[in-house]
Amino acid sequence: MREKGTWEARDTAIRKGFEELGAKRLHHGNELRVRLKMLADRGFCAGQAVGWLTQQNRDGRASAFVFSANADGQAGGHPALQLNNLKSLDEGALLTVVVVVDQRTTRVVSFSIGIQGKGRATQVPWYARVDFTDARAGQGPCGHPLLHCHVGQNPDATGEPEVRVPHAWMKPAEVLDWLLATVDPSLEP
Amino acid sequence: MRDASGALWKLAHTKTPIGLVIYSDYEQRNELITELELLAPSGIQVLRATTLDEARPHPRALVLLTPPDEGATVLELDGRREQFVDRQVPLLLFLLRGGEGLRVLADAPGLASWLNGSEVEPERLQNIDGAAEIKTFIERTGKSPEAWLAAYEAGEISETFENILLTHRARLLGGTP
Repeated sequence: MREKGTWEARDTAIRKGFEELGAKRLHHGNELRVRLKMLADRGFCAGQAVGWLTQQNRDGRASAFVFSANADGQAGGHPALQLNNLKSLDEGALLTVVVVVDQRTTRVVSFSIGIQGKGRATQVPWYARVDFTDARAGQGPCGHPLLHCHVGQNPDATGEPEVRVPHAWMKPAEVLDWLLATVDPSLEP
Repeated sequence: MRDASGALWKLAHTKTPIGLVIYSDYEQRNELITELELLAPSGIQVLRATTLDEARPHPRALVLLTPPDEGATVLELDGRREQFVDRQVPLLLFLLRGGEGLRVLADAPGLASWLNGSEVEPERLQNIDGAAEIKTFIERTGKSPEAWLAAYEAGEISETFENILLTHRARLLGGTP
């Protein structure tokens, strides 16, 4: 008997985490902006970055926090923030952010936060992207945990296998902390 | 795409002496205050104030003015405009949408004219045209947001960067979150 229950318990813990978070009425946009301001103040991105993270509302039901078209980067045709001076990634690395919340309760519905670029020394393409959706998708909780990270060289690849590294529950701003600390140890919170 | 944060950023960085931020409820006002503190130009002091007398001695600070009596403050500002024309950094006056402050402002054409072009109503800028966005989504994917989400949850859509962004878009545009 393989231990499916263990993996379901992990997803349950993640659900508990985001439901508890949803009860706190956090402004996820401002939590992310705190990190963007720190990056700008320390010279890792443009000073306008805080103003490029914008909010879109749908009929009082859902809101999304995304970079606006004014942002200084493009990743796959989507607005992104250019990151420079990172220890492990070459200039012009790209930060992408999408966080969807219930507008009324601020509960997180889904998000993806990722960084892509080239290794500073190796010049090898690299990306990492953390995805969360509050609904089970595809495989079971082992192959497709609710909160997981894709890591590789090409974020657009459809190659096999699709790797999803499981994560313990983190809120969107903490995911950004983790990604930043991964690409530059000086950004450890 | 209309952009509330971009508009607030411009307002906080403008040389206009006084700007107007229209909010929809007190919770949103608190969130906007936090956002403006983050959007403020580097090295500029940000001051929260509730009266014009508190703001007056700080022409080089970004003042976020949230008066308890918005109507009275608009009247007072209309009479004291000359004391604020030499500000180097804006004083941002928060007024409730549909509230007494905006009603009084409508009867103060001089002040209203002075503020013209220096007002931001974030909620109005944040609201997307749902019907138009859904139409665009369908044209792009061949699926409604709900059908896209059903296919994603059935594991029929690979998690490429493009597809995961479309999935979040579907979440925004689809049914109740």
